[in-house]
Amino acid sequence: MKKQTVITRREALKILGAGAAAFSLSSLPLTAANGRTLTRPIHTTGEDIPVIGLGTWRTFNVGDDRELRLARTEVVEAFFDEGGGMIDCSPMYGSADEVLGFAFDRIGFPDTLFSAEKVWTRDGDRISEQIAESASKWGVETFDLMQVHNLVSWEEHLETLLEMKEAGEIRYVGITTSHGRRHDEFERIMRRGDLDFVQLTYNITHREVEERLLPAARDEGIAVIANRPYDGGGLIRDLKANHTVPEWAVEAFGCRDWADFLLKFIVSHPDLTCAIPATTRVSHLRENMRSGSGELPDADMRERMIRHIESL
Amino acid sequence: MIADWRTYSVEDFIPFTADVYFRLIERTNEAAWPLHVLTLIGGLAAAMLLVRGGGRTAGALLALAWLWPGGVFLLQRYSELNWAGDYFGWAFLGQAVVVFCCALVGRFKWEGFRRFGLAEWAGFALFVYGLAAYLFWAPVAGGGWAEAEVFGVHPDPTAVATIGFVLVAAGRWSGWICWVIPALWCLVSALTLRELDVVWAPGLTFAAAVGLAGLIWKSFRRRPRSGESAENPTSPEE
Repeated sequence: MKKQTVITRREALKILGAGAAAFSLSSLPLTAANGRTLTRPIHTTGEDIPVIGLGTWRTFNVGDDRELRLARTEVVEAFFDEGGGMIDCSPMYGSADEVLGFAFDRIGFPDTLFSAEKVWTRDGDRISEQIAESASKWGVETFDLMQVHNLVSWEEHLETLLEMKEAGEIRYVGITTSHGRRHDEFERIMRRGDLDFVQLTYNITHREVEERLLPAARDEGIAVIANRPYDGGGLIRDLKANHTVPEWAVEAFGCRDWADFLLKFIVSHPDLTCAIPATTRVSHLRENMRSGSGELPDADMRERMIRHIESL
Repeated sequence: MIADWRTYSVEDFIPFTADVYFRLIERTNEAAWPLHVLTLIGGLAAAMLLVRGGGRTAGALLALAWLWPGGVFLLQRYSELNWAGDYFGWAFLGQAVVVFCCALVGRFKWEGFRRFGLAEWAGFALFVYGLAAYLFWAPVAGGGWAEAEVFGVHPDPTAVATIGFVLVAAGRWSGWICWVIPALWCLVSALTLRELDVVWAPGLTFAAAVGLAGLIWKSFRRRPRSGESAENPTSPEE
């Protein structure tokens, strides 16, 4: 379904200059694939993915409501129209898997789709069944990335997922956490050295992962997905309602709006691969996607952005 | 592990947005109409029957009001959005059985306004709120009649009215067992609606709390004289 491995993890790490990469933005392997969309490589293969993906928590759980399903189809269509790649979902998100399937049934499967799904069951024997169910709901044969949701029964699941990857049934394996949970255990799993991806909470007000997890991802050559980029939506709602984007951010990196401010802060971190904001509106989706293009803030500017948000 | 649980917020357990929730209410209304008329008449009839000494029939009507919210709204529709919907749905059907059983053994009775205490008046107000006033919330808040929640069709007004009915008519232990599920639902729904920024969310917490306070009040106040036991009503049905 997707392009094959082109380079090894070791080679990818070389490209990254992994050891020296820490916060040296000039060393970022960041490219603009179509002249607009910024991409980052997945370390283990070198495959590029756009830095802005699409999350589906809450927003795509609309049940069998046809009107809302069609509205979400428009969001998915706009996502790919803007050069999007990764869509992330989970069996825990109610009907979101089915709603994605509904959308793909209407717009087809764009070449740039990078399907990221999760396993969410305590029953180690049910994992294959759950993945098959999810694939059937999406309408895909296989997933690009399969993650263990919030470390639920991760010992059993990770073993099975790695076997599935070996057998070519999935392309990448990852684990997820959110809200800063179980970071010690999360880091221990990362240090095993067999993960392609991790997904964690990272945004301008929640930067705990900078201490241990992002350095671990850099050391181990693991791609990083940032969830909750708007801290569940409350962060951007508050900023939009009460504040204007600072002029210095406009001058420094052409910051257009608060979505640009918050998302560019995330994806400008050298160890981040992709952020996955979720939305129900096409207009917001396009705002988000615009943040995946143009200039990014440098390290000094990132510090200033943090201080500014803390001062509000 | 306990520390891990502390990191969860209510938001983590609400897997849908406000627009999806109110579309669910709206679509349920479309599918159920004109059941609303029957459930409202049923609720009113339950109150009138209770006053006229028909506690058993009144209770049976109240039990019927839990069937659609549990069996259709929660089990068939809400559960599509929230995996916990199945559990809530079965709890509602269980509540129907509990209320029906209490009705069957004559645990609901009317003692007259003259014997109303604080708990009964609070119950009366909650019953009126759940049956008649609750359906105005959505239209007043700008959602229109399509999003109105109705006793016997949607869970919230059904739970509120039931707590009110229980305070007015149930005896001591029967009051407690008929209060548990509606009160728990009110708390769950209040947390959900608060997360969705719905203005009437606090009313549900208030209903559960009033029910609790009323039952405690009834449990500790002076027992009726012999022959007037609340658990051995003397209505014509008994």
